[in-house]
Amino acid sequence: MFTSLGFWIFALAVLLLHNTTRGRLQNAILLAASYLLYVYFDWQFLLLLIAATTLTFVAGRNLAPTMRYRRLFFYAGILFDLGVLVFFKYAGFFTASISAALNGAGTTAQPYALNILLPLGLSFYIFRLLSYLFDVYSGRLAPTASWIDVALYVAFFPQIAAGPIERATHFLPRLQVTRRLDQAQFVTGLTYIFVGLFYKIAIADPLAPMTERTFSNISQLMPLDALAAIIWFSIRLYADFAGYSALAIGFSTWFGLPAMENFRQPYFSQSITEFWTRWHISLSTWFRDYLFYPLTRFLLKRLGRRFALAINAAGLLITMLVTGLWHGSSLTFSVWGLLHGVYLIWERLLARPPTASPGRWQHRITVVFNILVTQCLVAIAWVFFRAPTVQDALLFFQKLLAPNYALDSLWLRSVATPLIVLILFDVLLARAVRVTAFWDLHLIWRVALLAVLVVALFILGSSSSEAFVYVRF
Amino acid sequence: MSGSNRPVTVWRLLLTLLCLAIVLVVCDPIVGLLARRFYPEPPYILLDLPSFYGLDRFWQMTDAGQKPIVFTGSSMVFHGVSPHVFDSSIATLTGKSVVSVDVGVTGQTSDIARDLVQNIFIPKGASAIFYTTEMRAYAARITLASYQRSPLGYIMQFEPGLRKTLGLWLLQHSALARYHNNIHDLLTGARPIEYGVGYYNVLDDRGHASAWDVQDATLSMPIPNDFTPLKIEAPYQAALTEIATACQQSNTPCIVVNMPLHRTLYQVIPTTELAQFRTMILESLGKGKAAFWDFNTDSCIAWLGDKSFLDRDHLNEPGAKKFTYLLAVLYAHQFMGQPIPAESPVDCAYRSS
Repeated sequence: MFTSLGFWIFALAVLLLHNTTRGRLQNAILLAASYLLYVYFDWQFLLLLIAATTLTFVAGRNLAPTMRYRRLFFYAGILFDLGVLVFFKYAGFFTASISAALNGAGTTAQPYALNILLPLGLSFYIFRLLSYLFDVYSGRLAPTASWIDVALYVAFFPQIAAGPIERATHFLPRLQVTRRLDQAQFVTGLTYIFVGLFYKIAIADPLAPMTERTFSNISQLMPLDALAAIIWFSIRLYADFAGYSALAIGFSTWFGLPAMENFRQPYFSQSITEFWTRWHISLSTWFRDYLFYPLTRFLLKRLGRRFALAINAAGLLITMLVTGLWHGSSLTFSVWGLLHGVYLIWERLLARPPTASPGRWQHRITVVFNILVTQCLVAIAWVFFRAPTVQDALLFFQKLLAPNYALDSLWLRSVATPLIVLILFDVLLARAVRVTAFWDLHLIWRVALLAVLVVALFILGSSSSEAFVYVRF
Repeated sequence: MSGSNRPVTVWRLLLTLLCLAIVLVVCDPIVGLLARRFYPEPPYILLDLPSFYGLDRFWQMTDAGQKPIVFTGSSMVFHGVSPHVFDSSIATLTGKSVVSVDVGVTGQTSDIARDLVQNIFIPKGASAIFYTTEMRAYAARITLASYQRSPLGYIMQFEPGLRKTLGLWLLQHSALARYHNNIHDLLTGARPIEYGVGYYNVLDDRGHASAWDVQDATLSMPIPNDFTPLKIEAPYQAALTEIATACQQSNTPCIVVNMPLHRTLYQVIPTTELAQFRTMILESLGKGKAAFWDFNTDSCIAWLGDKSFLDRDHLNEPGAKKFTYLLAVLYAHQFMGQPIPAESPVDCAYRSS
């Protein structure tokens, strides 16, 4: 949606209105705009969004330490939110699996299948609601008296479709003051938006047709096609989602409600553990704070410290499995999550204390080697993430490993160009640390860099606009 | 690099954007210069590489204040019409000077012709337009996707307005816009680079491809199945009507020309389909909007003879000279009021009233 002219006109009109009002009216305007946009994209589920928000709000009001039934309200709120998520996201899968199992057992009963549409942004807004409940229940956040504030936290239009999953503790306090767009905020937001558009239009979208073509035709793939498909998909998924996140941050910044960073050049990670501190940060930290830590703390308390390693491993495996399931009910996502869980456990088991500091070149070679190994592991897992079924993923690896490699320059260029563009762009962002460091450059460097990026965007940019990948989750 | 800790201001943004615009404006001609000097291909702005030459020549002419007569069509017009022969024939027949150019597009269908006529030829002031059509031009072909991903095809998908006007202006004046697809394809491996192969080597300065031989071998090949059975799809038929309407509204003389085919191909097309095609053209053009001259007739094909063809659907140079002269005679007669010379075999063609 961020790349359409209509969205820009809408966002700028709302921004104008937002900036000319003050106090709580600003929140009401933003909420109205968010609901309006939600109705435009997915009118049939607005009532569900309002209902989930209202019930969570009511539960939240009863979570103060002095409230008598706070535990009941807490679990009721959690159950309701999770129930909505499970029903819409997994009920179809469960009924289909049961039907398949019945058929497999030889019954002639007609399979009963649910064909349920997925509400826009469901996984993201349910996790926001849960975050609110957890934080209020744990005392990190006072229950909010304004329904509008909670509703806006859940439905804020730059973030509802695919995150970042902003925490209530960060978001809600900002709603208590009048927000004014100043020059620095405007330029910062615009910088994020440019970064997002570059990721999306210059890197992700041109790879979409090739990725879709290869993964929908796995049985016909040659080894080099399969290799290219892994590389293209790895680049596309990252650039698409990082682009979305940067755009969401940019637009949110304009409204004085900046979102957390969601990506920090994850393909430069030297380990899977590091990867998960750089990839989809808002989700990985959500699971860390609300699932992994409470779960391992609970198990440690029950079983004792002597099982620490096993508890840690179980915690990682469960967290990553749930992370996979969060993406969808398909078995492929579960395998993807479990694979990452195994990687993480393996790294914990192999972790050794650092030895004497290596020489400069030895250090550099080690860094590059670690990055390559890590990204190979990540790419292997992406095959399960993208393939339609687990069987397709296994067939994909068969095709990849078939001994028939004949390089040609067209293939090389089709793979090398997006890879090089992504690496260079991420090196720039990594060196800058923060996106706005661009404005600290000398004018000459600033213009030169921008000229290169604009020309690259113009030459490599896709003429067709592809939907954001993570919106479907 | 030197850093500064001043707060980011809109002024700094505007200054950067202004400098960026200056840099792009300065660098753009340099890109063009380097590309022309070191890159083997012409700008890939249309469906194929050769079509650039004719279109660029047309733009040069109109920029110089000339009002050229345009021949557009598929590869059949590259080979079949020689603007130099046309100009000299008109001069001989009428004593008047005209200038013409060949803007053929390999695989051109009627929708591409419509885009060119409506958005480039008429707005830029073509004095007359010959649309050399054929029986393959009225159904979707595999070339459509390539056309839509070409810069011109992409711009043509915009609604009329500032964006389209700006896009067309950039296509004419900006090297980066013109070489967009070349650089893109070079970087991404979308297609092999053409190092001087293809028939754009034999194009003259008016976009005409001279081919002197007769490729007898091609005549024994299977008949191209895209001529028959005749396929006419509504959007492509509508495109022809739109061409005629645009011509009428702008008072630009337009002539739709059905190109002659080699005898061996012509004979396998059922006469009912030939008649159906002619009827479709006449119905689409409507009364008085554009002229229709059909040279795909027994007598025209016999007059041209087998030696006038390069292959089944393209004239060679001797054929192009004979055919172009015929066009010049008819044009001089119908649009410049000249009598038809006695020895001219113009009656071989069917002409709409």
